Amino acid sequence: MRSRLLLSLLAPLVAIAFALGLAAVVLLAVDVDPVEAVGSMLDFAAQPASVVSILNRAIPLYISAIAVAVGFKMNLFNIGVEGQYLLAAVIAAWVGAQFSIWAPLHVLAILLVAAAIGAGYSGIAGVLRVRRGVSEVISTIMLNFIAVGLTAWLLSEHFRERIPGDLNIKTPEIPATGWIPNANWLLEIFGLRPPNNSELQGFIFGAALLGVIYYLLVWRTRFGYELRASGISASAARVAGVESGRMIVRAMLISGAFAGLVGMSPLLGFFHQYTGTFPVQLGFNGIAVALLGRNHPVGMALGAVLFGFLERSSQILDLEGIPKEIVTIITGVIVLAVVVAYEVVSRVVQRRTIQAAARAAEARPVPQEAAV
Amino acid sequence: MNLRKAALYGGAGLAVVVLVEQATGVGELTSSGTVGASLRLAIPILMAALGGLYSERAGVVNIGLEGMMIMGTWFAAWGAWLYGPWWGVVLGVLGGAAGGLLHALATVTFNVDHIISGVAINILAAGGMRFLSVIAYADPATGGGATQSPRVPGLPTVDLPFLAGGSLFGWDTPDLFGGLERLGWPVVSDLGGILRGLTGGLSWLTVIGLALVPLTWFALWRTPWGLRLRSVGENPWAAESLGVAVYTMKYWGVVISGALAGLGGAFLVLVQANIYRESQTAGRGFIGLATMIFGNWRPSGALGGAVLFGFADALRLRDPAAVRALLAVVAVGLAALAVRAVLKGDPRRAATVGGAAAVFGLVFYSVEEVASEFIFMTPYVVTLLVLAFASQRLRMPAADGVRYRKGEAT
Amino acid sequence: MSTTSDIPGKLIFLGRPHTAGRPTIEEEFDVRKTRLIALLAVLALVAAACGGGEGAGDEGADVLVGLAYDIGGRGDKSFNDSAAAGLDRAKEDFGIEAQELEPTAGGENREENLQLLAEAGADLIFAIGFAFADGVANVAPNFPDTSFGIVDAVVDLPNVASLVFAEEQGSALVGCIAGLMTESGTVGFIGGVNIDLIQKFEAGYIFGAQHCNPDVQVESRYLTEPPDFSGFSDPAKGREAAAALYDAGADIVYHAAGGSGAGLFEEAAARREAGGQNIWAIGVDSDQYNTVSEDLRDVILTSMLKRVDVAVYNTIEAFVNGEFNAGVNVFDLSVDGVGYSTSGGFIPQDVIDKVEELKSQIVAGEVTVPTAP
Repeated sequence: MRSRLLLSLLAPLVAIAFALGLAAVVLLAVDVDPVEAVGSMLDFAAQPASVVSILNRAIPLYISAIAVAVGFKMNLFNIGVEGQYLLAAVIAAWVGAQFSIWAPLHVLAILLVAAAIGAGYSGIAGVLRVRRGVSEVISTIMLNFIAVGLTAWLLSEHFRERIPGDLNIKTPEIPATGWIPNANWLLEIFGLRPPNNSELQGFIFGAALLGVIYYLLVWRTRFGYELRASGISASAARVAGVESGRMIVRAMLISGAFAGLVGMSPLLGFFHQYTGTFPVQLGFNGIAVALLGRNHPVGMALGAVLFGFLERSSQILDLEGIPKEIVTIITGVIVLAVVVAYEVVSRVVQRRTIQAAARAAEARPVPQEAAV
Repeated sequence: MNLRKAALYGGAGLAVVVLVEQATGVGELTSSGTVGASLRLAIPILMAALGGLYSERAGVVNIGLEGMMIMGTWFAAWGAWLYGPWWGVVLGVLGGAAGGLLHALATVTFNVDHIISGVAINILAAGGMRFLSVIAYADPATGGGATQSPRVPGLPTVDLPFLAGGSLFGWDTPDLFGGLERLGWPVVSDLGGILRGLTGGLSWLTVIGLALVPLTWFALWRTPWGLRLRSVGENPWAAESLGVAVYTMKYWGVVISGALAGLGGAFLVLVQANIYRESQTAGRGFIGLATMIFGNWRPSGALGGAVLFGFADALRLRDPAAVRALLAVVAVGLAALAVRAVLKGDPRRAATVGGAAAVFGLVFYSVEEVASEFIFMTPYVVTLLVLAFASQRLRMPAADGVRYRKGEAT
Repeated sequence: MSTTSDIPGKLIFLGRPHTAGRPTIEEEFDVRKTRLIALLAVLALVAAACGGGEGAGDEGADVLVGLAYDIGGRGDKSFNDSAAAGLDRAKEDFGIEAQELEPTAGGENREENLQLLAEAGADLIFAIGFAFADGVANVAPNFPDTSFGIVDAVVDLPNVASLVFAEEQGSALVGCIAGLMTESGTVGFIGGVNIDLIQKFEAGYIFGAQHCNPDVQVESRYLTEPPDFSGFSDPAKGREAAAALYDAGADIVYHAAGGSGAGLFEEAAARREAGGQNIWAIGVDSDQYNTVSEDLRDVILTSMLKRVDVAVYNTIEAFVNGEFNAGVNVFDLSVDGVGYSTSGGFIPQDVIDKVEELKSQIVAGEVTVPTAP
């Protein structure tokens, strides 16, 4: 057991080291000292403003990773998180701007709308899979593009608030009761004083709570048990009385509900309206984070922070005249390398288990656990 | 028999189009310009779709097509800039193939999940090509920059002699189809316009791209190599037991897949734009993937899908008003199918198809202009609808997307 | 972790950039920058020789200008490059120092870039593009001693200069040229993405064409709808739209489509080669006659000039001279912030006369150009 933990930690570390090594080679090829580059990235990241920025980037990424991981747990591939969160953010932003009630309720209402939209949109893929046998990979890719078109149409034809002289396309601003206050005090506990205008988004607690919910849901409920069982072997689960069709739809709905919340931290903690500059790509990057963190709530948190770090610190490279595209390359290589590393590690583990079992079998009858 | 059926459908389709054109006064549906534009807009999508076909027939899902296409655009421009347009084609194909090789390495050798590898390749390609641009065009004297290449020489285009008035040994031949188009007679001129669009202003890459459709069919369905490749996609364990080198065949499929996506990228650069521009592919790799599925994992289906999407795009760019007329075409076409279903004694089918016809007709009457966001969504919605309602007719390779490891046959 | 401690003084964002002293990677990397820095060094020498006198390069010596590009950054051969040109010219003339940042491909870190430049101690920060509006509004109040300049948007703060252009006026002039020079009686317009900013170009163009030639027909096409901004970087679609417009009878086509405009020039050149003598294209933002490859020059009748470079340069000049003007700075025809180019000499004198007449009418306020079609 301990060796397995060690090995699963080893895989991402090997992958990151490999990606950094490759980046170093590329940097050397263009006459940049890689040690210096990494050094300035780390220095930069240690600043309070950077810490805030990294965490703010990590929050939506983490939730996105959870959304993807729920699907992964039963071998469902929800590539549609991208479309689900964008559509949810646009509609939630507009709905949230229509009224103003007691703050906690207002925020909760917006969150519920977002989760419902995300779940509903993701549910389409689930139903198509169960009723029509359409692969959720394909349907969610298509739904992503359709979501882009839908958000564009909603935004320009229905939700747009025109402000003279402002060329940005945006929804009306959500009243202050719908905002989530910042969590800068959390940093101050650790002795970090964020500079002016630098606010740690309060939804960091929401993200943590979602992480706990994800953990309890998957590992501590009957639903989670059935989910994982279907993921390991759909036929075995069916024998055990798990109805796979219903499981698929439920998993997609839950995944979509998480996805709907992805955009809420930037929306309620920073933008307070949906604008043309709202962050995109969070859904796709969430896939990478889920892979990196091996669908584990803690692992994904680390992965999200790593991605936040890479993105934020790429800016210092720009200031130093080092092509910051190197960070995108590192990201891509990490994703690829980490899955390769897991694959290789799991083969090693498998071989060892078999060897250990063989050795054990020589000594005495096969113990119950080794068969699993 | 099959040809007669095709001619029948083609004739019926043309009749519907002419009818609508006469009724709405929109002339762009069958003009040579629209047809030519549809063809040009369809070829990159078709290349991506054929690329996806090779890969998925070998059992490897390839959502990295977009990334491979991006690599194709970059290397095509770079090659053309350094050595001329045909070298651009070669380098574009090689660039795409390199992306394919990476995907093959990850999915076949390292047995990584196909989707994950594809996602990673898309991320990697975007960043990597930007990085290469920064290096290759660092000197502003090149005329390029971080986001674009210098202007590169494009491939020449030809008009076929006699049919489209191309020149033959310096003699300007008459323009038969163009002449018919200009007559302005219904049906005759519509046919003339369509044929003129298919025979005039052709790039050699267009010809090659179209030729790849029957070639792909031949290679995959009429050669032992193709049989082996498809067997790997259907049942790799059985193929392995029959002595097929499963890994090798998968590598073939995925590398060819990347090469074709790269060719699509090269087409964008060398025929349509004469320049590399960041994010020039604009999702065409994904549309290609959709097209391939829509086309039921068959070359002819991919062609049909690509032309359909190219046509929708061309119409939107050429005459936004014509898109509305297209709705009428669809409505009338569906209504005709409904009538046929009634005659064949299938009232349930007639009711569904008739209902759909009514919906399209209603939309046609109620809107003045189709919002272009919806035209943007069309290919994806159509694919989703086809998947949802015609899925019993679709048949993907049985072991598509399955992670296969040698010696695991059970 | 230990690597951080052995690189002292690496945190350049805390202080001034180290352009003097040992060569940095940046210089080896970008030929143009190297040249500039050499120039800067020469200027510094000259300034030193003047002994701190009244030398032109002296006033700006302590000024650090930050410039936050929009997506695409330096080298985009378009909007961002225009700003970069103004900055480069100011560097030469005033001896200022500069730091430049570019957002990620999605552009979500625009505001952070402004913040970074402000923290780096920049005295004057430019935000290139209307997408920065919210970012400037958030960052500027926290740095009251820093001046900001934003292009294409109005941000009403005491330390922000809003640099806005009368694109419709410049477009009206090129529209007038098109209206007077068309032989077919139809002219065309291609917009990259259907947003308000681009509609300003279209409105001005239509107005100008019909003002100078009441019988002219104007056909417009947009390549994509927001938030799909690929219409600014898809030359293939640009070319098909151009083909459609020429097929529809237009002989002069104007584009406001960024990188997609390359497709228009290709189509025009192909048609010219195939025998269409009166096939023309009109460029945008910079004098595209000078920026496209030589084979395409002959089809570029004129370009609508949107002088982002002038806006950046003038703002730096004013700042260096202590005359920074917060508030709305309109760059219209009266200050040559917009205009048209005559490179290539394709426009006959009588047309130029009429265009100049329209120009003076607009400047005098006798003619008002609409900003929406």
